[in-house]
Amino acid sequence: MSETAQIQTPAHSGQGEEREILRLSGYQRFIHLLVVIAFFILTFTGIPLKFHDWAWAKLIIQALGGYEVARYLHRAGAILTFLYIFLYFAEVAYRFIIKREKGLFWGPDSIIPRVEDITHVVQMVIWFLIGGKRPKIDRWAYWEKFDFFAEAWGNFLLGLTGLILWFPAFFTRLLPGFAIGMSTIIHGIEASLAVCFIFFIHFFNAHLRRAKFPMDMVIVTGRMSMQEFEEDRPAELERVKKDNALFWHQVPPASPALAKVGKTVGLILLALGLGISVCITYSVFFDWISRLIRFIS
Amino acid sequence: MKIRGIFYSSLLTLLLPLAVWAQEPADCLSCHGDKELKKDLADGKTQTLFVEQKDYLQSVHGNLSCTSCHTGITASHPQDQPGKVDCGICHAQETEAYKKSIHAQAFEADPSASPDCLRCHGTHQVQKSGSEKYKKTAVDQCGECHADYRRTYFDTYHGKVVSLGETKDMPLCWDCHSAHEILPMADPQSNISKERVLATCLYCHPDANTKFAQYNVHSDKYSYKNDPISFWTYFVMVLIVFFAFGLWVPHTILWFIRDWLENRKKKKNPETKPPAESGGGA
Repeated sequence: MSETAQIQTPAHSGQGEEREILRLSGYQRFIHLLVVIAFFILTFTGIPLKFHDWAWAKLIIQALGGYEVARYLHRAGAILTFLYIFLYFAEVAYRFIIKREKGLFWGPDSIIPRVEDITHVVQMVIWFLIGGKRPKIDRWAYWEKFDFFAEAWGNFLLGLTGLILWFPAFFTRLLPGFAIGMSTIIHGIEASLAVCFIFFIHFFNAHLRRAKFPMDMVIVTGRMSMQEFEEDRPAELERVKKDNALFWHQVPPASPALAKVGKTVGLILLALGLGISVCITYSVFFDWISRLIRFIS
Repeated sequence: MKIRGIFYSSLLTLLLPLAVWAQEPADCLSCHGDKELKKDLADGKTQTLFVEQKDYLQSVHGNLSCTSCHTGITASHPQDQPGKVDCGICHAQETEAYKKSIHAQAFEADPSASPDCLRCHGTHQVQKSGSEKYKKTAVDQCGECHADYRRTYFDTYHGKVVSLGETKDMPLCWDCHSAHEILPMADPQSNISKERVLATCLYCHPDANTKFAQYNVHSDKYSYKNDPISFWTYFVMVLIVFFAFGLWVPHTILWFIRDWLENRKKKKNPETKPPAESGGGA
């Protein structure tokens, strides 16, 4: 919120008029950075275990410096995940209890799905099929809400089953023995799903579609150009203008150095993520087809 | 001089058997090194008598003579009847343990259906059982007969890690089932019997408990009969995968096509307002 309060003209942009919309706070971007780091650690140390009989999996483990390294990195990634979950809920609690922010759990600024989202899905599908007008999307698009809850669901499931697999002897004091076998199955499939979902669907929705290609810098800088804001979030812009609050959402552009570093790192991770997702998809399809052939013959 | 001559000749005489002993594998291989060497068996089949010298020399028995195992070979070989190889000459403890096992019982009933020493350890290429080389082939060895157990072993954490090439702290088949005295699960003396399975787990998991030991390590997620819980877990997870991608893959493809169509339209009619796509703040 401190960034919205900066009223002085941007020092480095050279264009006094150029103001951008602050879409993501520094804290939100920091949390997302932790998510990215944890997600990549967990993906590259965990996925090879699920696809152990494939050469690419063995190659990744070798590149990481052996199985022992992967094992400890995976647990470090897990701890980081629990940390960002805690930090996320800490901020939600702060904003709800101390700042008494309205509309955190309801209304157009909330991530919680609304009736409008269903309308947007329908309008979007109509736009896909016959063109015309796109739905007037507010602060959070339905695909972002789905991403959020998919991530939350994945974190819950992977966190729980991961803990069971990490401390099987402790958890079987509470749970029956088959919890270990169930956890193995759930953890592996949910992880593959999460990885492919993030790297195919989330990457396309957020970065790879034509309007954002190859990367939406909003996740690094937190800022969106006015033009893009108008195009992407027309309902939010209308709402903000009606409240005469546009000024409070506008900030000077981010430093070019931050954008440059963010873009370089982002594009490398984008390529790595897509790479491992292609490997997973290929392996899964190959397995299923060979099982199908065996089943028929 | 005479005394010295006697000394040398007697030394030579004493060393002569040693020289023969050392030469012996080469002697045997002069015939058994021939890939075509065969023997006709009573049932009409032929058995190869070829010995790969390299396998033998690299094996843990590479420094033994042929006759240490192949006893009863006389000067009249190959007309003589050499005795069956008895591993018990050196490995008495293991042989005794094996004789109690279900493998030995089944072998007596039908030698083709169950392993003896050679079936698992190999013949001339026998490796030290603790060696990495032997460990890496061990699961496949058991899997030759127990294919389903091999497959489900690789579904577990233990198996996956072994498959990635790390055998250090990970159990192979024999770590739980024991190697020579393998007994069926129903036998209370078995390592995996209800009575003793916890003790087997405790060997590596010092904090294991009864419920921990009830985990069915060979549960088959593809088989409803084998393990309904694993089957349904797998089934529901696959449904979730289909649900997620069933919704979003078409969404992504349609969006991609629409973007492409819109872009083509814009190129055709450049007078409409310029695209707002600035590609972000970079």
